[in-house]
Amino acid sequence: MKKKKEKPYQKVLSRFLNINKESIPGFIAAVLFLVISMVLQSGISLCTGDMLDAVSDRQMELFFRLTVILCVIQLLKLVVTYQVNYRVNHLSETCIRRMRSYTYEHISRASMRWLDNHKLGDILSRVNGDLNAMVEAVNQFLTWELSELIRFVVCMVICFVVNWKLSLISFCIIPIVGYFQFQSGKPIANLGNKRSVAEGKVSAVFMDFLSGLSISKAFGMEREISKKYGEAVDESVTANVKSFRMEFILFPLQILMNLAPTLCITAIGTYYTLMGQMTLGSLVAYIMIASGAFNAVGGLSWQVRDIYNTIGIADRIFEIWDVETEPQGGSLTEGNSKIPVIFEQICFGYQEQTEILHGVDFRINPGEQVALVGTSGSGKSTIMKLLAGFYEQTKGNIILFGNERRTWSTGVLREKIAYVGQDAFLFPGTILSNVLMGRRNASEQEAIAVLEAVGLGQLDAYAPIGERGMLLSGGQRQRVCIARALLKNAELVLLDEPTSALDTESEYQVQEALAKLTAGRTTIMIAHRLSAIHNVDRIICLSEGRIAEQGTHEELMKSNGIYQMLYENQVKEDVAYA
Amino acid sequence: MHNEKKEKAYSLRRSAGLVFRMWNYCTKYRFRFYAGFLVGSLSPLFFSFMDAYIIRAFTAVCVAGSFQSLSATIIRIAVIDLIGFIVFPWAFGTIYTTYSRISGVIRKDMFDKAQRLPVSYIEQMYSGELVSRLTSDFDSAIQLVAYPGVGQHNPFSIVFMIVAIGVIVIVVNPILGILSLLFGFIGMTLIHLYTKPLQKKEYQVKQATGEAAQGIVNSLSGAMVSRMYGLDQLLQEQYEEKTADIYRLNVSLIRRKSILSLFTDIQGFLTFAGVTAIGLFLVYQGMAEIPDVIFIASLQMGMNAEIGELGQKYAGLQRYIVGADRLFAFLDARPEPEREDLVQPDDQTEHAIELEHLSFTYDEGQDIFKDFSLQIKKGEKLAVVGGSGGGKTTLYKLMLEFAVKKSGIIRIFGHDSEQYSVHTMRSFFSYVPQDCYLFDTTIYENVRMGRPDATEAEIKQALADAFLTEFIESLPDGMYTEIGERGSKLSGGQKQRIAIARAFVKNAPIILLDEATSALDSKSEQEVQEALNHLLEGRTSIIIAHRISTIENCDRIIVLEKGEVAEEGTHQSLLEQDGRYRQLYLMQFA
Repeated sequence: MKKKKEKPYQKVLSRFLNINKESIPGFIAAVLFLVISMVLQSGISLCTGDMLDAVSDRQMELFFRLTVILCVIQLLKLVVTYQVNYRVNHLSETCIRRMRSYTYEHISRASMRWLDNHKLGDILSRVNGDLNAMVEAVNQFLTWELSELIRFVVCMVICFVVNWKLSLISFCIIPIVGYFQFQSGKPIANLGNKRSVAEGKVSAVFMDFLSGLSISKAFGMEREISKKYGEAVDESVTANVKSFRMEFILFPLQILMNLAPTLCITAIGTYYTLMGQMTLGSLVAYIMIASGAFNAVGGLSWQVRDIYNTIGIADRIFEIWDVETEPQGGSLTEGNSKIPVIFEQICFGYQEQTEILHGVDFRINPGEQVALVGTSGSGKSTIMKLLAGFYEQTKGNIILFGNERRTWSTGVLREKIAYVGQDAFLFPGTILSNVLMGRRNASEQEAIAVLEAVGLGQLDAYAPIGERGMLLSGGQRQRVCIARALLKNAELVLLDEPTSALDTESEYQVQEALAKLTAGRTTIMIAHRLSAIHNVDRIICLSEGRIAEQGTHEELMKSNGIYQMLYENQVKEDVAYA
Repeated sequence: MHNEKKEKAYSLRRSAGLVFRMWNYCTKYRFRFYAGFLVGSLSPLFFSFMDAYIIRAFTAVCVAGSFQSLSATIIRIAVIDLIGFIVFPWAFGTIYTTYSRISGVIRKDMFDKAQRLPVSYIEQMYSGELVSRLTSDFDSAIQLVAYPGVGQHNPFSIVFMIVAIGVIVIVVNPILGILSLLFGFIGMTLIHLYTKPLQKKEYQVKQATGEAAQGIVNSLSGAMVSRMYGLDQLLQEQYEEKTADIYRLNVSLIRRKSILSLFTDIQGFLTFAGVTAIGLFLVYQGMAEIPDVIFIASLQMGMNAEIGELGQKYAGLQRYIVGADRLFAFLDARPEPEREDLVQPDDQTEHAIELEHLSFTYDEGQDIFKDFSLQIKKGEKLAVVGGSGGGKTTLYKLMLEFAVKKSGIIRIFGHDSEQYSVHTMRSFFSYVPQDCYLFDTTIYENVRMGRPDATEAEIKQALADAFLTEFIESLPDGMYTEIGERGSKLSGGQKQRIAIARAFVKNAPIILLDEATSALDSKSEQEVQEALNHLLEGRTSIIIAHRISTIENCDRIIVLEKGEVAEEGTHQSLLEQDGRYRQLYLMQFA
């Protein structure tokens, strides 16, 4: 119950300041210059007021002197204005750059588990969208809202100095006005947020329906889909209209709050002037300065809304920064034994309730080619992910090259493992640039050599490959990935159904490339097509999270167990004998 | 059509054309929009005027020195303010609600148009790229309709102000009035001239920002690769380079922007303090009154404040106009031509499908089919095999009119396909692709996609026919379970069987099946296989096959290579031929 409404605000603010510690002196300097700028501005008003009185009293010499003073103040102000503008914008850019870096740094270290649990599209729109929103908010605050805030304070102080009686009265109005502005600001912000959420939903439906356009057309569903979309749109419009109507009931209140102060001050000030307690010139100057303060208050409700939104955005960005990171690993950089893999009583589940592996035990010998088979859900991919270090087992030890996996330095361990999966991911760039990612100090000749080895020698390695390697065929992409893995020259090779997304012809070429990769290296592979793994040294057959049987193909076929059943089921579909 | 339009500066005429087109888009709401807009645009003028008027009135009272005029003045002003109190909220409310309605109409039009696009855009749709571009164009363009109401400040209200204030100040005191306008005009021009060159740099910043965003996309999409190959430092360096670019570009902008702020400041000084000083001098010379001087100076100040806002809002305006341009380019695009049904399918024909001398090329110029002919009997199960690029999927696309043939005839149930409407054409086929798109809704709705007027019983039956009943019953919401974006909550086998259920519901006479290669494990494959076999019973079917068992069950097999039937026959006869088929067959188990 102790949670006040201020708490998240403070937390976010303090974290934000903490990140941008280095910019604080610059910020203070900018504020100082802003203050000076406002003071000078008020000085101009006061001077002008005095000039008015001088003319009223027909003191022209004084008038001309004041004119000179006026120009001097303005010149000073120019210098200060430049400083303010420069510093504030510079500050903004620096903060923004810093936050971009932070965001990237943190999101790129997210754990695979977190990434698996979130849709890529969601993450991206969060990261990029929120980042952009943050950038704009920071910019807006520093270049606009900050100066308004300072204007208010400075003008108020000067008003009091000029005429405290009038100020006392007029500034009693401010809290009242401010209160109403503030109170009306929040519900407006909420309404606005609800609207953007609803708009987002409509856009998502738009995206979903149109992405499935080919199916809609194939089944002649166009009219039906249009109708559904139309309904979603109508719903959103009705909600919007209602929401706007509510928002604009508050509007007259806001207008009143804008007009009332100036009117009151001017009226009361006029009264004082008529009573001879003020000169006309000082009244005019006073009104000018006070208006500055009032206008700043006038924008308050919008500012409150903006600040609320900014806090919300910052909060979301911080969520991204706080994303679970990869486990650190230990400090060991040397192996202890030649035996690449030992799984001891490994238990694991993605969620707490469901366990996928129930005590898996096996050992892989150096240079051995091993296949993992089993029905889907039996745990094959899970074992791969555990091996690659993307998840941590709940029980048991994984001993790689003689050391428990967690004691290895993560970077060193990953150098020893090459992974080729279904999804042949390539970064934008050229074939060569992608292959060279295989090993840090590899030379171009080495890269070209591996490209030849996988049968891509005749392709132009320097040609750009498009977004995700779009300009290459599926088989070519996969072979570039294999070349990359080949260049890495790792001791342990993990293959996770590398050909399952390819057609027969590409599959054949990729198999040849894979053979080059696995030759002489310890290999663990998951292959869906059982007929492709006849030549492995050993097959480990999983069933329901446990090892059911192990052996060579011939041995397992004789043993009348699960493997034989799986094989025969498949073989009914792809007979192997010519 | 929808390619990146270069960021060239739009001429005033073109921009105005686009803006007006957006405003006039919905004739139904047009009147309300313009009414609200005009009145709303007057609001800055009104409020600035009132601010100046108040000061003038009270200054006059002070000069006159009378208390009575004080109270009279107060009342007069309060009454005028009351008008603004009522009128403007109405105006803004109208603008915003009208904006909602207009945006609803445009959204629906966009969707309709998207559905009727030439089918070559379908691939782009599937990846979502085109769709998200459309969405962002819409978001930009619609601001032109929301714009007038947004924060009261917009280029149009400026025009009102300048004209009205111009007239007023000249009437009040011609000499001072003209002088103040002159100051204002010179200042504005200088600022405008200085702002233009900034735009190019701003565009560069936008480019750089986009590239940085792409860096994040790559890093996340390639998360696994990045970790396995220890690329995080490399990728981070690449990203830092991009943010450094953004920073550098912006910093070079800052200096210029700061100088710009000086111009603004000078202008503010001249038009207020300068005008006041000169005005006071005129007072001394007996050529002006003090209240008038204050009035003119205050009006100028109000105008300056508006113009100051203009710069920011103008940049946004440019963006919105570009969005509107792209939106209209899309809405104006020619849709897929509609045809009428000229014939009815012929019950007497022997053949379901006849392809005669078909030729087809993709845009890039490679001939897929040159003189292709094929006949498929009713009830026949035809398997199509061949290396990739041989034309198998293209065949389906041509039959479904997802691609337009160059020449030749496609005959369905005895008649040239062009004599049927596209809708009817497609109603003959049930297309079961390798990777079927599932919508982010329930299983029920997804199956109902097969035929909109299917009853619940029919859908239940279709699910049973696809051997999904057991799975459905295991779910708490049964058929009405949500399946997530693109069916993310389902396994591969389940997704495929839902696609098969759709085909059952549609109950079309011809099945076009594109068999999944091997993304499933044995058990799921078996389930899918059974469902497929069930579907194929009693129907004509063409199957792009990847499983021998499927092939063995077919009546005829053709080997499609480079757009030609290389071999043809039954499984046994083709094996004996010792040709391409045998080669392909053996490749499956190297």
